[in-house]
Amino acid sequence: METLDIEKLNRQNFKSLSDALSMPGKITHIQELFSSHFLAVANVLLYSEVSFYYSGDEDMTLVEAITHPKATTLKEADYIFSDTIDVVLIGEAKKGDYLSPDFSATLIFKCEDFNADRYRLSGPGIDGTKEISLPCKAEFIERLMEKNRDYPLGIEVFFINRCGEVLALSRTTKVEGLSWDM
Amino acid sequence: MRYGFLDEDAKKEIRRATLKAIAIPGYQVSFASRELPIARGWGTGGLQVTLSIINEDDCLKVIDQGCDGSVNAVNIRNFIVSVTDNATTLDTQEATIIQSRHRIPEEPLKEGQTLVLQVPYPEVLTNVEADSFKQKVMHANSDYAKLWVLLYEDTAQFGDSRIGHRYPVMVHDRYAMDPSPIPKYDTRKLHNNKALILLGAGREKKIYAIPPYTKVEPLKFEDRAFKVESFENKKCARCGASGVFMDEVHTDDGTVKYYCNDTAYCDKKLEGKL
Repeated sequence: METLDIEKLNRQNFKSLSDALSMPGKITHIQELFSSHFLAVANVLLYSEVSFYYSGDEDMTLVEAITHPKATTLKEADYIFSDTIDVVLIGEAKKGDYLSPDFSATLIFKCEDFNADRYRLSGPGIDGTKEISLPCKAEFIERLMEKNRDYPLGIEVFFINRCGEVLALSRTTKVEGLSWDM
Repeated sequence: MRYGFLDEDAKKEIRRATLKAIAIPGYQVSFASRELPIARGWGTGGLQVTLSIINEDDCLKVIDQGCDGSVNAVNIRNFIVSVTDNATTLDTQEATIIQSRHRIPEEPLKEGQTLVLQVPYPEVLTNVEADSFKQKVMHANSDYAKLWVLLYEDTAQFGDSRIGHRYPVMVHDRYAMDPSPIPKYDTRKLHNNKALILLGAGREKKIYAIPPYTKVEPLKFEDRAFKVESFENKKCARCGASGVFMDEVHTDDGTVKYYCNDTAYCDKKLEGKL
Protein backbone atom coordinates (compact mmCIF):
# COMPACT_ATOMS: atom_id res chain seq x y z
CA MET A 1 0.00 0.00 0.00
CA GLU A 2 1.32 3.45 -0.87
CA THR A 3 1.91 5.58 2.19
CA LEU A 4 1.64 9.33 2.34
CA ASP A 5 3.90 11.44 4.57
CA ILE A 6 1.66 14.46 5.12
CA GLU A 7 4.12 16.26 7.38
CA LYS A 8 6.83 16.00 4.72
CA LEU A 9 4.39 17.36 2.18
CA ASN A 10 3.54 20.22 4.54
CA ARG A 11 7.24 21.07 4.94
CA GLN A 12 7.77 21.30 1.22
CA ASN A 13 4.53 23.14 0.53
CA PHE A 14 5.18 25.61 3.36
CA LYS A 15 8.49 26.44 1.70
CA SER A 16 6.57 27.22 -1.52
CA LEU A 17 4.10 29.46 0.33
CA SER A 18 6.85 31.21 2.26
CA ASP A 19 8.87 31.83 -0.91
CA ALA A 20 5.78 33.15 -2.69
CA LEU A 21 4.88 35.57 0.11
CA SER A 22 8.41 36.79 0.79
CA MET A 23 8.89 37.56 -2.92
CA PRO A 24 5.46 38.68 -4.17
CA GLY A 25 4.93 37.82 -7.82
CA LYS A 26 7.32 34.86 -7.71
CA ILE A 27 5.68 31.65 -8.90
CA THR A 28 6.30 28.56 -6.77
CA HIS A 29 4.85 25.05 -6.89
CA ILE A 30 2.54 23.16 -4.58
CA GLN A 31 2.41 19.37 -4.41
CA GLU A 32 -1.01 17.76 -4.34
CA LEU A 33 -2.71 16.27 -1.32
CA PHE A 34 -5.76 14.07 -1.92
CA SER A 35 -5.47 14.96 -5.62
CA SER A 36 -5.88 18.67 -4.89
CA HIS A 37 -3.39 21.52 -4.71
CA PHE A 38 -6.01 23.57 -2.91
CA LEU A 39 -6.40 21.01 -0.13
CA ALA A 40 -2.63 20.72 0.12
CA VAL A 41 -2.42 24.46 0.91
CA ALA A 42 -5.28 24.18 3.40
CA ASN A 43 -3.44 21.34 5.11
CA VAL A 44 -0.31 23.48 5.50
CA LEU A 45 -2.09 26.47 6.96
CA LEU A 46 -4.86 25.01 9.12
CA TYR A 47 -4.42 23.72 12.65
CA SER A 48 -6.41 23.60 15.84
CA GLU A 49 -5.86 27.22 16.89
CA VAL A 50 -6.98 28.92 13.68
CA SER A 51 -10.34 29.43 12.04
CA PHE A 52 -11.36 29.26 8.41
CA TYR A 53 -14.19 29.98 6.04
CA TYR A 54 -14.85 27.99 2.89
CA SER A 55 -17.84 27.76 0.67
CA GLY A 56 -16.99 25.73 -2.41
CA ASP A 57 -16.83 22.38 -4.09
CA GLU A 58 -13.69 20.87 -2.57
CA ASP A 59 -14.25 18.19 0.03
CA MET A 60 -12.53 19.53 3.16
CA THR A 61 -13.68 16.62 5.35
CA LEU A 62 -10.33 14.83 5.48
CA VAL A 63 -8.28 18.01 5.92
CA GLU A 64 -10.59 19.12 8.73
CA ALA A 65 -10.27 15.73 10.38
CA ILE A 66 -6.47 15.95 10.22
CA THR A 67 -6.02 19.58 11.24
CA HIS A 68 -9.02 20.35 13.53
CA PRO A 69 -9.51 24.02 12.64
CA LYS A 70 -12.60 25.96 13.62
CA ALA A 71 -15.08 26.71 10.84
CA THR A 72 -16.36 30.24 11.27
CA THR A 73 -17.94 33.21 9.55
CA LEU A 74 -16.33 35.16 6.76
CA LYS A 75 -15.70 38.18 8.98
CA GLU A 76 -13.94 36.22 11.70
CA ALA A 77 -11.92 33.72 9.68
CA ASP A 78 -8.13 33.60 9.86
CA TYR A 79 -8.08 31.83 6.49
CA ILE A 80 -10.62 32.33 3.73
CA PHE A 81 -10.63 29.80 0.92
CA SER A 82 -12.50 30.33 -2.31
CA ASP A 83 -13.00 28.43 -5.56
CA THR A 84 -13.40 31.71 -7.44
CA ILE A 85 -11.77 35.11 -7.27
CA ASP A 86 -14.58 36.83 -5.48
CA VAL A 87 -14.09 40.52 -4.78
CA VAL A 88 -16.75 40.47 -2.05
CA LEU A 89 -14.49 38.36 0.16
CA ILE A 90 -11.90 41.13 0.32
CA GLY A 91 -14.39 43.56 1.78
CA GLU A 92 -15.50 41.13 4.47
CA ALA A 93 -12.09 39.80 5.55
CA LYS A 94 -10.67 41.02 8.87
CA LYS A 95 -7.61 43.22 8.56
CA GLY A 96 -6.37 43.34 12.17
CA ASP A 97 -5.94 46.44 14.30
CA TYR A 98 -2.98 48.71 14.97
CA LEU A 99 -2.03 46.85 18.15
CA SER A 100 -2.21 43.45 16.48
CA PRO A 101 -2.15 43.73 12.70
CA ASP A 102 -1.34 40.02 12.54
CA PHE A 103 -4.87 39.19 13.67
CA SER A 104 -5.92 39.49 10.07
CA ALA A 105 -7.13 37.16 7.35
CA THR A 106 -5.23 35.39 4.61
CA LEU A 107 -7.21 34.71 1.43
CA ILE A 108 -6.54 31.72 -0.80
CA PHE A 109 -8.12 31.80 -4.25
CA LYS A 110 -8.30 29.02 -6.78
CA CYS A 111 -7.94 30.03 -10.42
CA GLU A 112 -7.47 28.44 -13.84
CA ASP A 113 -4.21 30.21 -14.67
CA PHE A 114 -2.44 33.49 -13.97
CA ASN A 115 -3.08 35.00 -17.38
CA ALA A 116 -5.54 37.84 -17.01
CA ASP A 117 -4.38 41.44 -16.82
CA ARG A 118 -0.80 42.73 -16.57
CA TYR A 119 0.35 44.49 -13.45
CA ARG A 120 3.43 46.15 -12.03
CA LEU A 121 4.34 45.15 -8.49
CA SER A 122 6.60 46.97 -6.05
CA GLY A 123 7.34 46.82 -2.34
CA PRO A 124 9.23 44.53 0.04
CA GLY A 125 10.28 41.26 -1.57
CA ILE A 126 10.56 42.84 -5.00
CA ASP A 127 13.81 44.08 -6.50
CA GLY A 128 12.59 47.47 -7.72
CA THR A 129 9.50 46.63 -9.74
CA LYS A 130 8.19 43.47 -11.33
CA GLU A 131 5.72 43.13 -14.20
CA ILE A 132 3.54 40.04 -14.15
CA SER A 133 0.13 38.68 -15.11
CA LEU A 134 -2.35 38.16 -12.32
CA PRO A 135 -5.57 36.14 -12.54
CA CYS A 136 -7.75 39.05 -11.41
CA LYS A 137 -9.43 42.08 -12.88
CA ALA A 138 -9.11 45.76 -12.08
CA GLU A 139 -11.97 45.84 -9.58
CA PHE A 140 -10.33 43.14 -7.47
CA ILE A 141 -7.00 44.94 -7.34
CA GLU A 142 -8.68 48.26 -6.55
CA ARG A 143 -10.49 46.66 -3.61
CA LEU A 144 -7.32 44.94 -2.44
CA MET A 145 -5.33 48.19 -2.55
CA GLU A 146 -8.15 49.90 -0.67
CA LYS A 147 -8.13 47.13 1.96
CA ASN A 148 -4.36 47.39 2.40
CA ARG A 149 -4.24 51.18 2.28
CA ASP A 150 -3.84 51.68 6.04
CA TYR A 151 -0.68 49.62 6.48
CA PRO A 152 0.09 47.73 8.73
CA LEU A 153 -3.58 46.77 8.59
CA GLY A 154 -4.38 44.50 5.70
CA ILE A 155 -4.62 41.03 4.22
CA GLU A 156 -2.46 38.62 2.26
CA VAL A 157 -3.66 36.91 -0.89
CA PHE A 158 -2.53 33.64 -2.45
CA PHE A 159 -3.59 32.46 -5.92
CA ILE A 160 -3.32 28.77 -6.83
CA ASN A 161 -3.80 27.73 -10.43
CA ARG A 162 -4.84 24.40 -11.93
CA CYS A 163 -1.21 23.31 -12.40
CA GLY A 164 -0.40 23.79 -8.72
CA GLU A 165 1.47 27.04 -9.20
CA VAL A 166 1.09 29.60 -6.47
CA LEU A 167 1.80 33.31 -6.27
CA ALA A 168 1.09 35.77 -3.51
CA LEU A 169 0.46 39.44 -2.86
CA SER A 170 1.51 40.72 0.54
CA ARG A 171 -0.19 43.63 2.27
CA THR A 172 2.95 45.65 1.53
CA THR A 173 2.75 44.95 -2.21
CA LYS A 174 1.78 47.91 -4.35
CA VAL A 175 -0.03 46.78 -7.50
CA GLU A 176 -0.49 49.01 -10.54
CA GLY A 177 -2.41 48.02 -13.64
CA LEU A 178 -0.56 48.08 -16.94
CA SER A 179 -3.54 47.34 -19.16
CA TRP A 180 -5.98 49.72 -17.53
CA ASP A 181 -5.99 53.01 -15.67
CA MET A 182 -6.47 52.82 -11.92
CA MET B 1 12.31 10.85 16.37
CA ARG B 2 9.91 13.14 14.53
CA TYR B 3 11.55 15.12 11.74
CA GLY B 4 12.40 18.55 13.09
CA PHE B 5 11.73 17.60 16.72
CA LEU B 6 8.67 19.83 17.15
CA ASP B 7 5.18 18.39 16.75
CA GLU B 8 3.24 19.38 13.65
CA ASP B 9 0.85 21.78 15.43
CA ALA B 10 3.80 23.61 17.00
CA LYS B 11 5.42 23.96 13.60
CA LYS B 12 2.18 25.19 12.06
CA GLU B 13 1.83 27.85 14.74
CA ILE B 14 5.41 29.00 14.18
CA ARG B 15 4.88 28.92 10.41
CA ARG B 16 1.77 31.07 10.76
CA ALA B 17 3.74 33.56 12.87
CA THR B 18 6.51 33.46 10.27
CA LEU B 19 4.16 34.19 7.37
CA LYS B 20 2.58 37.09 9.28
CA ALA B 21 6.04 38.38 10.15
CA ILE B 22 7.00 38.30 6.47
CA ALA B 23 3.80 40.17 5.58
CA ILE B 24 4.44 42.88 8.20
CA PRO B 25 8.21 43.52 8.07
CA GLY B 26 9.69 44.46 11.44
CA TYR B 27 6.53 43.71 13.41
CA GLN B 28 6.96 41.27 16.30
CA VAL B 29 4.53 38.36 16.06
CA SER B 30 3.93 36.47 19.30
CA PHE B 31 4.21 32.71 19.35
CA ALA B 32 4.04 29.96 21.95
CA SER B 33 7.71 29.24 22.43
CA ARG B 34 8.16 25.51 23.06
CA GLU B 35 10.44 23.67 25.44
CA LEU B 36 13.59 22.42 23.75
CA PRO B 37 16.57 20.38 24.97
CA ILE B 38 18.50 23.64 25.41
CA ALA B 39 17.70 26.45 27.80
CA ARG B 40 15.82 29.57 26.71
CA GLY B 41 18.20 32.36 25.94
CA TRP B 42 20.61 30.01 24.19
CA GLY B 43 19.15 30.29 20.71
CA THR B 44 15.78 28.59 21.16
CA GLY B 45 13.96 31.24 19.12
CA GLY B 46 16.20 30.80 16.12
CA LEU B 47 16.18 27.06 16.63
CA GLN B 48 12.39 26.85 16.61
CA VAL B 49 12.21 28.95 13.47
CA THR B 50 14.81 26.75 11.77
CA LEU B 51 13.10 23.52 12.84
CA SER B 52 9.78 24.81 11.49
CA ILE B 53 11.02 25.90 8.08
CA ILE B 54 13.64 23.25 7.31
CA ASN B 55 12.88 20.44 4.88
CA GLU B 56 14.81 17.54 3.37
CA ASP B 57 16.21 19.66 0.51
CA ASP B 58 17.88 22.22 2.77
CA CYS B 59 21.57 22.56 3.45
CA LEU B 60 22.24 24.02 6.89
CA LYS B 61 24.94 26.32 8.20
CA VAL B 62 25.11 27.39 11.85
CA ILE B 63 27.41 30.12 13.12
CA ASP B 64 27.92 31.81 16.44
CA GLN B 65 29.60 35.23 16.42
CA GLY B 66 30.98 34.47 12.97
CA CYS B 67 32.38 31.07 13.85
CA ASP B 68 31.12 27.69 12.62
CA GLY B 69 33.23 25.91 15.22
CA SER B 70 32.18 27.57 18.46
CA VAL B 71 30.50 25.46 21.11
CA ASN B 72 27.01 26.88 20.66
CA ALA B 73 27.14 26.62 16.88
CA VAL B 74 28.39 23.03 16.99
CA ASN B 75 25.78 21.97 19.54
CA ILE B 76 22.89 23.59 17.68
CA ARG B 77 24.08 22.15 14.37
CA ASN B 78 24.47 18.69 15.87
CA PHE B 79 21.02 18.87 17.42
CA ILE B 80 19.34 19.93 14.18
CA VAL B 81 21.14 17.21 12.24
CA SER B 82 20.17 14.62 14.86
CA VAL B 83 16.47 15.43 14.32
CA THR B 84 16.54 16.01 10.55
CA ASP B 85 19.53 14.17 9.09
CA ASN B 86 20.01 17.18 6.81
CA ALA B 87 23.20 18.10 5.00
CA THR B 88 25.35 20.81 6.58
CA THR B 89 28.00 23.12 5.24
CA LEU B 90 30.47 25.75 6.37
CA ASP B 91 30.21 27.54 3.02
CA THR B 92 27.87 30.54 3.10
CA GLN B 93 27.11 30.20 -0.62
CA GLU B 94 26.13 26.53 -0.37
CA ALA B 95 23.74 26.94 2.55
CA THR B 96 20.00 27.38 2.05
CA ILE B 97 19.37 28.07 5.75
CA ILE B 98 21.92 29.91 7.87
CA GLN B 99 21.22 30.12 11.58
CA SER B 100 23.37 32.75 13.22
CA ARG B 101 24.01 34.49 16.49
CA HIS B 102 25.36 38.05 16.40
CA ARG B 103 26.67 38.13 12.81
CA ILE B 104 25.56 38.29 9.21
CA PRO B 105 28.05 36.33 7.08
CA GLU B 106 30.73 38.28 5.27
CA GLU B 107 29.88 36.85 1.85
CA PRO B 108 26.74 38.44 0.37
CA LEU B 109 23.61 36.34 0.70
CA LYS B 110 21.51 35.47 -2.33
CA GLU B 111 17.88 34.93 -3.29
CA GLY B 112 16.47 31.67 -1.99
CA GLN B 113 18.58 31.70 1.15
CA THR B 114 17.11 32.22 4.60
CA LEU B 115 19.10 33.78 7.41
CA VAL B 116 17.73 32.92 10.85
CA LEU B 117 19.01 35.24 13.57
CA GLN B 118 18.84 34.34 17.25
CA VAL B 119 17.48 37.24 19.28
CA PRO B 120 17.91 37.73 23.02
CA TYR B 121 15.95 41.01 23.31
CA PRO B 122 13.49 41.57 20.47
CA GLU B 123 11.95 44.76 21.84
CA VAL B 124 13.78 47.80 20.55
CA LEU B 125 11.92 50.06 22.99
CA THR B 126 13.03 48.22 26.15
CA ASN B 127 15.69 50.77 27.03
CA VAL B 128 13.30 53.71 26.80
CA GLU B 129 9.99 52.16 27.93
CA ALA B 130 9.76 49.30 30.43
CA ASP B 131 6.01 48.64 30.19
CA SER B 132 5.38 46.02 27.50
CA PHE B 133 1.81 47.17 26.77
CA LYS B 134 3.00 50.75 26.35
CA GLN B 135 5.68 49.44 23.99
CA LYS B 136 2.98 47.78 21.91
CA VAL B 137 0.94 50.99 21.83
CA MET B 138 4.03 52.93 20.76
CA HIS B 139 4.58 50.48 17.90
CA ALA B 140 0.89 50.73 16.98
CA ASN B 141 1.20 54.51 16.72
CA SER B 142 4.66 54.35 15.19
CA ASP B 143 5.61 56.61 18.10
CA TYR B 144 9.37 56.39 18.44
CA ALA B 145 9.89 59.81 20.03
CA LYS B 146 11.62 58.29 23.08
CA LEU B 147 14.14 56.52 20.85
CA TRP B 148 14.84 59.79 19.07
CA VAL B 149 15.28 61.56 22.42
CA LEU B 150 17.79 58.91 23.50
CA LEU B 151 19.63 59.36 20.24
CA TYR B 152 19.54 63.16 20.66
CA GLU B 153 20.86 63.01 24.23
CA ASP B 154 23.71 60.75 23.17
CA THR B 155 24.53 62.99 20.23
CA ALA B 156 24.40 66.15 22.33
CA GLN B 157 26.56 64.69 25.10
CA PHE B 158 28.94 62.42 23.23
CA GLY B 159 28.73 63.50 19.61
CA ASP B 160 27.19 60.21 18.46
CA SER B 161 25.01 57.37 19.67
CA ARG B 162 26.62 55.18 22.32
CA ILE B 163 24.85 52.09 20.95
CA GLY B 164 27.56 49.73 19.76
CA HIS B 165 25.51 46.75 18.65
CA ARG B 166 21.76 46.00 18.42
CA TYR B 167 21.54 49.36 16.67
CA PRO B 168 17.84 50.25 16.15
CA VAL B 169 16.64 50.20 12.56
CA MET B 170 13.50 51.39 10.82
CA VAL B 171 11.96 48.73 8.58
CA HIS B 172 9.87 49.66 5.52
CA ASP B 173 9.46 53.16 6.99
CA ARG B 174 7.05 51.82 9.61
CA TYR B 175 8.44 49.71 12.46
CA ALA B 176 11.48 50.38 14.62
CA MET B 177 13.18 47.05 15.08
CA ASP B 178 15.92 45.44 17.12
CA PRO B 179 18.16 43.69 14.56
CA SER B 180 19.57 41.31 17.22
CA PRO B 181 23.05 41.98 18.64
CA ILE B 182 24.80 42.26 15.30
CA PRO B 183 27.59 44.86 15.07
CA LYS B 184 26.85 48.17 13.35
CA TYR B 185 29.08 46.88 10.56
CA ASP B 186 26.36 44.32 9.75
CA THR B 187 23.43 46.72 10.13
CA ARG B 188 23.96 48.01 6.59
CA LYS B 189 23.64 44.48 5.21
CA LEU B 190 19.99 44.34 6.30
CA HIS B 191 19.00 46.93 3.71
CA ASN B 192 17.82 45.37 0.46
CA ASN B 193 19.35 42.05 1.37
CA LYS B 194 18.54 39.38 -1.21
CA ALA B 195 17.87 36.72 1.41
CA LEU B 196 14.85 36.32 3.66
CA ILE B 197 15.84 37.26 7.22
CA LEU B 198 13.88 35.68 10.06
CA LEU B 199 14.48 36.66 13.68
CA GLY B 200 13.40 34.44 16.54
CA ALA B 201 13.36 35.18 20.26
CA GLY B 202 12.54 32.03 22.23
CA ARG B 203 12.59 33.46 25.74
CA GLU B 204 10.55 36.51 24.71
CA LYS B 205 8.30 34.43 22.40
CA LYS B 206 8.55 36.70 19.35
CA ILE B 207 9.22 36.16 15.66
CA TYR B 208 9.82 38.94 13.17
CA ALA B 209 11.17 39.20 9.67
CA ILE B 210 12.72 41.22 6.92
CA PRO B 211 11.71 39.99 3.45
CA PRO B 212 14.25 40.25 0.62
CA TYR B 213 14.70 43.71 -0.94
CA THR B 214 13.23 45.60 2.01
CA LYS B 215 14.19 49.10 3.04
CA VAL B 216 16.01 48.95 6.38
CA GLU B 217 17.67 52.07 7.72
CA PRO B 218 19.49 52.70 10.98
CA LEU B 219 17.80 55.30 13.17
CA LYS B 220 19.92 58.42 12.84
CA PHE B 221 19.65 62.15 12.35
CA GLU B 222 19.87 63.42 8.79
CA ASP B 223 22.98 65.48 9.50
CA ARG B 224 24.84 62.64 11.21
CA ALA B 225 26.54 59.88 9.30
CA PHE B 226 25.97 56.33 10.46
CA LYS B 227 29.38 55.27 11.66
CA VAL B 228 30.32 51.61 11.76
CA GLU B 229 33.25 49.79 13.32
CA SER B 230 36.36 50.68 11.39
CA PHE B 231 39.20 48.31 10.58
CA GLU B 232 41.03 50.71 8.33
CA ASN B 233 44.58 49.65 7.48
CA LYS B 234 44.06 46.37 9.32
CA LYS B 235 44.74 42.99 7.75
CA CYS B 236 43.79 39.54 8.92
CA ALA B 237 46.92 37.95 10.41
CA ARG B 238 45.80 34.59 9.02
CA CYS B 239 44.47 35.16 5.50
CA GLY B 240 45.48 38.74 4.80
CA ALA B 241 41.94 39.95 4.15
CA SER B 242 41.08 43.60 4.68
CA GLY B 243 37.81 45.52 4.72
CA VAL B 244 36.00 42.86 6.73
CA PHE B 245 34.76 42.68 10.31
CA MET B 246 37.65 41.59 12.52
CA ASP B 247 38.42 40.25 15.96
CA GLU B 248 41.10 42.12 17.87
CA VAL B 249 43.41 39.72 19.70
CA HIS B 250 45.93 40.92 22.32
CA THR B 251 48.82 38.48 22.44
CA ASP B 252 51.06 37.61 25.39
CA ASP B 253 53.93 39.68 24.03
CA GLY B 254 51.75 42.79 24.04
CA THR B 255 51.14 43.02 20.31
CA VAL B 256 47.69 43.28 18.79
CA LYS B 257 46.62 41.05 15.94
CA TYR B 258 43.49 41.12 13.84
CA TYR B 259 41.63 38.11 12.45
CA CYS B 260 38.53 37.76 10.26
CA ASN B 261 35.56 37.31 12.56
CA ASP B 262 33.82 35.17 9.90
CA THR B 263 35.93 32.01 10.04
CA ALA B 264 34.36 30.41 6.95
CA TYR B 265 35.23 33.54 4.96
CA CYS B 266 38.77 33.42 6.36
CA ASP B 267 39.16 29.75 5.39
CA LYS B 268 37.90 30.42 1.87
CA LYS B 269 40.22 33.37 1.49
CA LEU B 270 43.14 31.26 2.68
CA GLU B 271 42.26 28.56 0.15
CA GLY B 272 42.18 31.14 -2.61
CA LYS B 273 38.47 30.65 -3.29
CA LEU B 274 37.65 34.32 -2.86
